[in-house]
Amino acid sequence: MNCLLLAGVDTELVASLALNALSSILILALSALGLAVIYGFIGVINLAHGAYFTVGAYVVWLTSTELGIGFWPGFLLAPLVVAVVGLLTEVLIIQHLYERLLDTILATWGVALAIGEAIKLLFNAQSKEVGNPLPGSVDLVVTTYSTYRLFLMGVAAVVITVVFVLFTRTDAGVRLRAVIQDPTQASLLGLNETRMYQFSFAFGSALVGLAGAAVAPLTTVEPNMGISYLVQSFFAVILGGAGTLIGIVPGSIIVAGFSNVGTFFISPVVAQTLVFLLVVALIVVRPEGLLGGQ
Amino acid sequence: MGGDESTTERAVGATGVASSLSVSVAGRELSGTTALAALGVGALLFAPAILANYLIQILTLSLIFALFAISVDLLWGYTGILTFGHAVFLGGGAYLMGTLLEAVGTGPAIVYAGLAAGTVLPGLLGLVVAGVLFSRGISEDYFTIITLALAIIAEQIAVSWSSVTNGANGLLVPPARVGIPGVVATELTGVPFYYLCVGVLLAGYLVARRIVDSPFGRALVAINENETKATALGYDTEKYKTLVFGVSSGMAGFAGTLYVLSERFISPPLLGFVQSTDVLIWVLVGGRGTLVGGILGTISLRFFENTISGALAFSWILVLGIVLILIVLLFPEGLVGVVEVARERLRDRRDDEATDHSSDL
Amino acid sequence: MTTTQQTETNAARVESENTLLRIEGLTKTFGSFTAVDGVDLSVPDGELHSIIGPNGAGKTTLFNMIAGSLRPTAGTIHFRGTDITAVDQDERARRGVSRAFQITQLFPGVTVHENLRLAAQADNQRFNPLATRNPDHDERARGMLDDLDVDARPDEVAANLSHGDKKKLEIGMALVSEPTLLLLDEPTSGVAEAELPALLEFLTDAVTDLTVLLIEHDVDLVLELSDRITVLDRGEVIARGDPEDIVANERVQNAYMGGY
Repeated sequence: MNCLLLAGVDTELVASLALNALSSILILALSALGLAVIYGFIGVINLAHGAYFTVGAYVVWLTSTELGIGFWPGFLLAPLVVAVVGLLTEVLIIQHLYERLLDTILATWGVALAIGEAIKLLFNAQSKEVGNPLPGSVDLVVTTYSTYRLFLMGVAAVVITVVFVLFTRTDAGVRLRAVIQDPTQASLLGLNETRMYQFSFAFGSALVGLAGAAVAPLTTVEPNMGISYLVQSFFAVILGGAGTLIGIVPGSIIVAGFSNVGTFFISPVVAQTLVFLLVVALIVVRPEGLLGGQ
Repeated sequence: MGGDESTTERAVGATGVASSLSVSVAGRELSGTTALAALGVGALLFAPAILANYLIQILTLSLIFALFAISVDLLWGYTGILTFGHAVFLGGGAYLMGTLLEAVGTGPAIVYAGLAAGTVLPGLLGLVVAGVLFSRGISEDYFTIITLALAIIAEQIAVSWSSVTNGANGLLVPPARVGIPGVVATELTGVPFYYLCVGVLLAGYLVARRIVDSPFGRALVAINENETKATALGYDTEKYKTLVFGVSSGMAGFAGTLYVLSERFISPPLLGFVQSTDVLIWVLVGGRGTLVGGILGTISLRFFENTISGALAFSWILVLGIVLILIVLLFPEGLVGVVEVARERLRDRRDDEATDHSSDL
Repeated sequence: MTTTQQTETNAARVESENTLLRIEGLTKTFGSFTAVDGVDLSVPDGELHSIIGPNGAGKTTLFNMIAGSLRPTAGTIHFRGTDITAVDQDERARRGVSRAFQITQLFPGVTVHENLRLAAQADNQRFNPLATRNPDHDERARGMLDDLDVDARPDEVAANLSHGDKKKLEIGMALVSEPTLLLLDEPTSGVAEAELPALLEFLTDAVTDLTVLLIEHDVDLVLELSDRITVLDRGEVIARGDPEDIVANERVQNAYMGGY
């Protein structure tokens, strides 16, 4: 009897742990996918990626509290707003630096600083709360689980799948990748290289904007919230292999999965340190990434 | 392609600057540079007579950070290794010194042990980190991202390891005493400590200058200019890069130990990514690959930060962010580069006039 | 294997006493594409040996493997009697394998003199950050600069040189380290007609005492300079011999010279 009870508690715990880990993985995958488009394809090391994430979160905070029009308009608006921010970054700054890509690190760090400070000036430095738009939970037999998190996982999974299909199965996506990986192809395929870069940058930004908006109700919204996603996204992309979109899947599983489970069993800092060491070890062993090149 | 040219121009500009500041060919230029250097040192020496105490305090810390900037310039300006985590070594040196002073004692012997440990251990850590990464031929952007992560992790560790670091509140460190162990020991503060820092910075600059002018340093420049060629010629580039990273980390650690002697307080941001990127901005604004640029950039930006920023409507970091973008886009060679270009234009005009006159005759 | 190759290999074994470079079965594949396919080559001390062949024959890939920037898929490379197949590129350079690239690889931001000095300094690595410079390297750089006869001033930055001067500097940097084996990849490509005679005169002078492997498109030049010639086609050796043999060889005519 006692034994059964214990087993029952364990299953529930394991199930919710697994679901938590899965939702972290999917959120990271969303953010990493945006980075994979920008870094993996164009080679721009976009240190403003974390700041874009933050902007996405602030958009839903604005709509659901300050503007009073609720969470959902913000959820739809966030990717668009961040896409515009990304597009502006590309047009005003990145475009002039394609011949010295390493310098984009510095310039995009400048963007990150400026965005973070602008947010502080506009909305002060205090952390904000975004109410859960889907309170309540769903009975999943083994455990009950937050409705919003389930919704979130669904959205992330769908978006990621759609993006994969877009880039690997559709003609336009395949051509876009071809151009980005070999710009000399552009004129052959009758495509405008500049437009392609701009589109990719805006698209990658939109994805991370969506990730930021999605996370907002689960955490506190504050000006520096994006920095950990910045590093984790880069790790996920590098681990999987820059240049392969699908690589972000194992990359995100390792980075987000390990820190999530590790945080539960040990402490957040120890877990993150271990993940960092693990990631560096994997990069050192396989610099081309788990699924990268031959 | 147009962009190619601009890259080359930049490289040309940066090295042009470096060479004219060090082993200038034209005698006239050399004397001009010497005069400027004398002026700079003179200004530092006379500063206590003119500036208020709190400004001297700011300047003291700026000199220490300038040493840190030199260590970063060795890596980034000369070897082309961009690191977003160099504060880990600065903070590492600081925490070593701070912990010794706080837990063991404040006498001269401890201080010297702290200076040594705070230099050697971060240096060794740098050797290990760089050695592992470079030996596997990690690309430069991976290296940069890993160093960024290193800084973030280090800061988190410092926050959470509160038994040693006192967490986010920071560690208060008792005043240290210098002198001869067992004979004389005195606290060094205020203006005397300022002069010590002037001396240390000068020495640090001369050591760095010696490094970049040595065959070793020239090899670093070769690696920065064209690593493929350097390898083909016979340079073991991984070894050079690892070694300079170790030297630079040791230098940063040493600056960290001075920081503690000056501030008597350490908190986790000292080894975090914000501190790591601040120093990049100082070096960038001053002019990378010049050593002097790092010093000028650090002192001037920190001066603005501590004086003018209060009067600004916007926050200092916002200004920094925008300055960073503009410098990268418009003046990749920094202050020293701008001055150099202006000087060249002036000389060209003078030469033109001279030829005009001679043709008149 | 053709009979010519058979005799070649035998001959090489006999004269292994003064063989500087010996390559056996060298192969490089990229995925399913075989760039270099089982190449044997033996170069005695003091020989000027040319590698010719149509575009894509694997000449530069072969050079990359000899210099050490590419690892072979199979085969061995012996230099001065020791197996260097697993030796790193920089170590090979320090042992005396020097290379001038087809597309010039200079240190664009430093002066002409410093380019040469850095090349002269590369052989004895100094890891002491506080060491002083060796005046001998300056001396050698200056001497090489005189021989090179570039138009630019010694304190001109390399990026500003004319194409011809860049080409000369590239060769000078390979020579100034006083190599035992010089790999010259298309030394005349892109050099203006007018500058060619001077460059050739310098080259012939500079390489008299050296062992040279030369890749060159200009067939007349190859026939004039070479002691022996190896012809590659699709990664394989199709002929080898002295210039007269090569001119007379039918396979070469069909595969390569027919194109001219």
